[in-house]
Amino acid sequence: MLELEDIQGLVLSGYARQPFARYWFLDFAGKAPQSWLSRVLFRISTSERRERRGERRVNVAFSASGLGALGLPDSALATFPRPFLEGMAAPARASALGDHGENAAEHWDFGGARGRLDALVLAYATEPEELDEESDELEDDFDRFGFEAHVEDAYLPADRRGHFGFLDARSNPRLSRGFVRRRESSLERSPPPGEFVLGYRNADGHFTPSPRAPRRLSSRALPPLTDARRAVDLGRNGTFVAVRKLAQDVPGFWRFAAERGLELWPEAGEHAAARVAEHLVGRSLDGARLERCPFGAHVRRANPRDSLGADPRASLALVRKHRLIRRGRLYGDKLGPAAESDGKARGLLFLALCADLERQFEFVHEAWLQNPKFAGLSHERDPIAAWDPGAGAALDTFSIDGAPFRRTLRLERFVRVRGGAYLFMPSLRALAYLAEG
Amino acid sequence: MPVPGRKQALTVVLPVQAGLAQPLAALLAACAGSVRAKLGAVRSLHFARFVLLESGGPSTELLFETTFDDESVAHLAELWEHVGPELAAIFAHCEGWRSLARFGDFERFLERHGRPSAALFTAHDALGVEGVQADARVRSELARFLDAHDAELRALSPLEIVTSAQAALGIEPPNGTAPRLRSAHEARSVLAFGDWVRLSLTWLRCALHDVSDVLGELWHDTSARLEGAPRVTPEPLGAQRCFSHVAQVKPGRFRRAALRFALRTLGAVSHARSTTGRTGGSLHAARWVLLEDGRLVFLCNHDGGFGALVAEVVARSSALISMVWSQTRGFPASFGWLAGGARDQTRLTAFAAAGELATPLWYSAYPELGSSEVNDNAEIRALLAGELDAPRAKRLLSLLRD
Repeated sequence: MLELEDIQGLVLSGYARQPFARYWFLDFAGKAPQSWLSRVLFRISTSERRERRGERRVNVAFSASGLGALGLPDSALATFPRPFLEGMAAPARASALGDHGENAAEHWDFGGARGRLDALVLAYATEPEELDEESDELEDDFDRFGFEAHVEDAYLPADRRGHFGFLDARSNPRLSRGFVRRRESSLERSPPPGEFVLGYRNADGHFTPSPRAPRRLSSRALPPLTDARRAVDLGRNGTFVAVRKLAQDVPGFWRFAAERGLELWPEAGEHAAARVAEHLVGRSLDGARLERCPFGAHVRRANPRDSLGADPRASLALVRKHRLIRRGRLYGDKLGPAAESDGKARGLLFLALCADLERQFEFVHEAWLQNPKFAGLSHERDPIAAWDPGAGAALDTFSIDGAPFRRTLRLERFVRVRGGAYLFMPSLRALAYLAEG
Repeated sequence: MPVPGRKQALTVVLPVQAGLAQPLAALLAACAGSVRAKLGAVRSLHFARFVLLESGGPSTELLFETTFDDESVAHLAELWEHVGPELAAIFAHCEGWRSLARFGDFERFLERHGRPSAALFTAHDALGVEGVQADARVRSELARFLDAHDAELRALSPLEIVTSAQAALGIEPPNGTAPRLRSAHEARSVLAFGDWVRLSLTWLRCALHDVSDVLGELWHDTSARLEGAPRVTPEPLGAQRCFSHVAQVKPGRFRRAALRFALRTLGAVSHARSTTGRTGGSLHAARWVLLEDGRLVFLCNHDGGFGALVAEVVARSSALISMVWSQTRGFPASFGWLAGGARDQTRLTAFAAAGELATPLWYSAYPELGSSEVNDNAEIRALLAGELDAPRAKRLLSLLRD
């Protein structure tokens, strides 16, 4: 069974009852943050049921530099996975994620060249006033300890629709807490908890390698010792977080959809734009599956389910090992599809939680979203999330499966990466360990 | 003995002269573009690469490999004709190379340092370089034709559309045969009864050795991860990538013997899968080379990323890969090839990354093509050049997904 009291709450819950959120991307500015962490420990929300009735939730995650600032020795840092240590902006990671050109780290608001990112503090509340109150207390501490912060506000919209107007289908995998429902087939049930939380078996039936730290005596409850009893299992009940700020050009998207819709389906009239948009995304605006989903549609690439290759069971088994827990929230005001551009920033603050950044988060990008050979295609990338290949690259098109043959439309790009980072969200006991420095 | 119609592999391992490893690495990096351009004239050449092998001591070796069509002598003659001066400049850094004026000397030099390949797999075995390139051009022409005449063609039936394309494009039939699907019975019967007996006995003995390895690991931290060095990712060419890897065989005569048997078994399976035509994966070609000092080199060409390659190995070939690599150091603990080992994707990825070799120069005759795409293109061309009916026309149009 999952040790819920030790797992931070964001892993098991998207905090739907706390729609207002604020994220602080902290730079410790060379200060020792252990004392700060000791103070904030009592605020950290866990995954226990009784906590979910609260009005406010707070969680925290750290980058490799942040863990170093907390006093973790180099020998312990070296036990973390390479993508985490290199960081999302590193060239090898950028290559896997397609962060080139307009999406390159030099354009980012956080996580790139602009300043250092040591920690991410996330606060959630049921009402804006509650969020402000929590923020005041947290920010008092940031000031007291001399941290610098980049702040982002985010929210869950009341209508559950994203900026492009699509209903959130909520297809997140549900952690089974270690229990298995006998009626579900092994491929249909949610991936095992070890896919998202370290210290439990993953879909391969193995334990994902977990970071370790030197043994220490303490009056606090600390992470358990590893099998060889030489170190503490710092990763147990923790998870890795990939955060991405994705700016969305809503007027541009709908202008494009309207223009292409009239070319492709003039008979559809005012519904032609929605039809184009739905084919690009791979869902109806209300979240229903399309009768004929294009091979390269966004949702199909992000979660291919049984559509990879000729064997549905083999496809399900493969996809099950590359799932992510998604905790995205919008930023910026909503804008209707017919509205003109207002010059304001808006988009998605996307968080993905997983136990293995390379096998899960980066795999989805490299093997599916960015792969021009996905599902029998020859040169097309994801129409929503993939990078802009630029003027000198191969044709940037999107094909819609149809009778008697496919329709192809020339793409424009409406999503830009404006921030990103890899972070580690420790367990409560690991936080206690880190707070002791 | 080369099999007619099948791709062949050439592997040459040359000791680099003392003190010339760094200049050689610099030369390979500097001349990569020009060498690739010259290799494009070698009509029998599918893939090629140069890899520097560090033996752990002061010496370095240069590995040069090609995957090609036709007979090896004809292939070497093409290399000499089109890339001779460039190869001479590279091989001049290696021991035993003298300025060679004749093709015969070049041929003998490479034969002297040649190494046999094991378990050669090629995804589109029956297709030669020129055929693959011609098929790709046909697909492009067909796509352009459909896009240029979209409005008028969309009102027609599939058969009428494809007939129009046939008339407009004038496609010639391909040489040779399109990929042939083997029956399941044929695929299973690649191993003789004696092979199955030897396989079972080897499995049993490997399992016993695995037990002793696992017991040894119990004294150490079993949660330990392979702390791999940063990846030395070669530059992708178009949609394709190459991966070069080295691992050290575990000591002992049994491990060597088991490895040789495993490679022979994998070779038989690879042959069957190669001639199946459609594997549906991202691998274009792959093979192992066992060196005399116990190093096992793995070379492959694939499309998609490194993570996709590893995932594919885990999904399709974990037992076979475990059978080979469990005889080497650093491979994730496995038991009897069926548990652990290549089934543990995270640790397999770390093992693969830890042993990855820098590949300063590599070549593909069709870098923009995916493995499945090569087979799709061959089928498109064969359908377009052949006799048509409604089902075949529909099949052809369904293959053109973008």
